[in-house]
Amino acid sequence: MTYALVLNGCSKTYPDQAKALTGFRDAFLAGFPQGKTIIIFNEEEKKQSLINASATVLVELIKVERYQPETVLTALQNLEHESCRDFYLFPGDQAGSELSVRFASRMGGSSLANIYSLEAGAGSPVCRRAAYNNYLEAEFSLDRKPYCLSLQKGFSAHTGKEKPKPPEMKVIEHNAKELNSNKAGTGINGTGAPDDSFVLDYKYTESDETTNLESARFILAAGRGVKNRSGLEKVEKTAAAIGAEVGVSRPVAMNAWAPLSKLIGVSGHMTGPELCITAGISGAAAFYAGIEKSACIAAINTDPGAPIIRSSDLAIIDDYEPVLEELERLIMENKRIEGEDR
Amino acid sequence: MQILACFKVVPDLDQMPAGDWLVDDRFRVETGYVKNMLNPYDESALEITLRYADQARRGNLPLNLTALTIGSKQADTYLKTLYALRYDKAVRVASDRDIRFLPEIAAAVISEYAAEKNRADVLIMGMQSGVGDNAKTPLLTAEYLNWPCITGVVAIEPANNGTKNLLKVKSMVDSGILEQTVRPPLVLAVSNAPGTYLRVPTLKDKVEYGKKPVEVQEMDNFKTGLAAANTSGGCRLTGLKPINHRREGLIIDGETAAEKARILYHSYLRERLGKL
Ligand SMILES: Cc1cc2nc3c(=O)[nH]c(=O)nc-3n(C[C@H](O)[C@H](O)[C@H](O)COP(=O)(O)OP(=O)(O)OC[C@H]3O[C@@H](n4cnc5c(N)ncnc54)[C@H](O)[C@@H]3O)c2cc1C
Repeated sequence: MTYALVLNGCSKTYPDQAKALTGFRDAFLAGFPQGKTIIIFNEEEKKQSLINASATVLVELIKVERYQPETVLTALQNLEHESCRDFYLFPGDQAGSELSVRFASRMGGSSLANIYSLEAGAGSPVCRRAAYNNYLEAEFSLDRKPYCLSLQKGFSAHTGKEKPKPPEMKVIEHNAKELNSNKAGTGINGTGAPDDSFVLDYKYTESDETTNLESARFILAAGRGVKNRSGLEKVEKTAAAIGAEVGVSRPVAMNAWAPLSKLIGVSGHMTGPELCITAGISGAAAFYAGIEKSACIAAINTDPGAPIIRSSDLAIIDDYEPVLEELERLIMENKRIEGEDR
Repeated sequence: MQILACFKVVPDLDQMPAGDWLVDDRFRVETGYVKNMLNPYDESALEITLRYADQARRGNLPLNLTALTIGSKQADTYLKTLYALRYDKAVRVASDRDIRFLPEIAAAVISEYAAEKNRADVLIMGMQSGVGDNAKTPLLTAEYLNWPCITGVVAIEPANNGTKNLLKVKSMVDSGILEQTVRPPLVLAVSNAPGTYLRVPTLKDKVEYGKKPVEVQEMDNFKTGLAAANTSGGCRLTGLKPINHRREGLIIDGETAAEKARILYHSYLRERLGKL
């Protein structure tokens, strides 16, 4: 069995992608020696650090002007169509998920997005991922090579020891323009796949919202129960005072009480703090998946029947506001005493 | 601009009682007794389309909106609401096939409808829907049509020179916003798009537009699409089981909210917070 890890070096999340794919490879494809890494990149200066993060000896670089899915797909297709690998693994973000599905379709293979496990042996590979909004786990058997898989968002594997870096790497460089110039991509209808000429102009604006949710050790998560923007602002003040990072559920982000960058859950951040306090959150599985790795979950909800109660370690059935007020007072008092002791 | 917005009606799975996730030997799950809803990502796609329509109408741009769903009669109330919201055509592809984990079929039907029956310039739909959670339909649709695709779309509007049938598309990429002027045809996929809950039609519009009959097409009439779908796919569902989210759920009792907070803090949180 052969495999390729496909990484998006144009993205800021490259280190996380590399870590997740390496972890997945070590956990589920460790027995397969013939792996390579394909890195899409656009900045020459970053090339070496991208290569250094690769987990395989063979690295193929595809240089693009910018990350444009149509260009990237056709370049991948042209690079791989003659010596197709058995497995292609893609990161668990929007771009990785898109590539896995579209690439498989072009290569006549099978694809699955958002997987978290793989059994690859002699027969058909078997993968698992969530279904039914994260309430159920679905298992699939894949029938056609190449198997193109994207990882679950926030996938991390604890494989024990880290593998030593490959002694020396073999790097092959390509340019998307050259790859795509002589061979037109072919779709399943037999006609040419689209290129990026449908884009007449573009502008990218980096968001100035920052969040440390994924590395936060203490999170205060607020849900629809905070009722409105000023409810959320209060929670934000409390969080700032007690040293917690604020996260929100989907309704809070959808109502624009908080930016989308604060969203926790399958379509937001996958977190793993030491302590997560939830306020006015029902605990829908799509949200819960984002706090599942918390060491301790303390829920505050007025409804004893809310699912979050059963999914938390500690729960208070009450209005979140007076509970948070008192918690803030206690934590601040403790901080003051500790400050005086020092 | 001819826009085809596709959506799915799904059970509100968050209303399922925890113990009721029973999977039968054909991997079916009885969800019929919880109320249904528009798949949230599709709901955003439908609203994003309406916002485009508001602007196009103001600019006197040619516009035709079609809403399409694949499924049973229960979708018809949603289709009528879309008529009331000024969609020009509401179509249901009638099917009782179990396509929960066969996004290839949904994509084949949609692409055939778009290319042959509707001649759409733009296709817009949610990236994923609960139940199958396949996250493939818009992507496969783009592949079957050989159209480009933009994911993470949060808004569309007519490009400044609207007469040229160009579109301005805003999408979320990584941690920023990408704004592109694009030339259709293309497929747009919507995920989380803040502030795009579907508007409610006015009573007047309900009376005036909401009574039009839904166009029903039989799935079996989509032969070429289905044939194409049979050559793709390649994943078979072989298991389905509940995920256990249970923790201890220790309920902290007290006379008042403040007392509960004190118990929580002193007995459980102080030490934990001290180690952070
Ligand atoms: C494809 C898809 C992806 C999704 N991705 C995500 C995701 O990434 N993240 C996410 O969060 N959701 C996601 N969802 C939505 C998810 O299914 C739920 O709808 C959402 O998590 C519910 O948010 P909530 O708990 O804040 O709101 P609700 O479910 O409405 O819960 C509000 C809770 O607040 C409690 N409450 C009300 N007032 C008070 C008060 N004064 N004090 C204390 N408690 C109070 C109520 O009892 C209730 O339990 C997704 C859905 C789909 C279909």
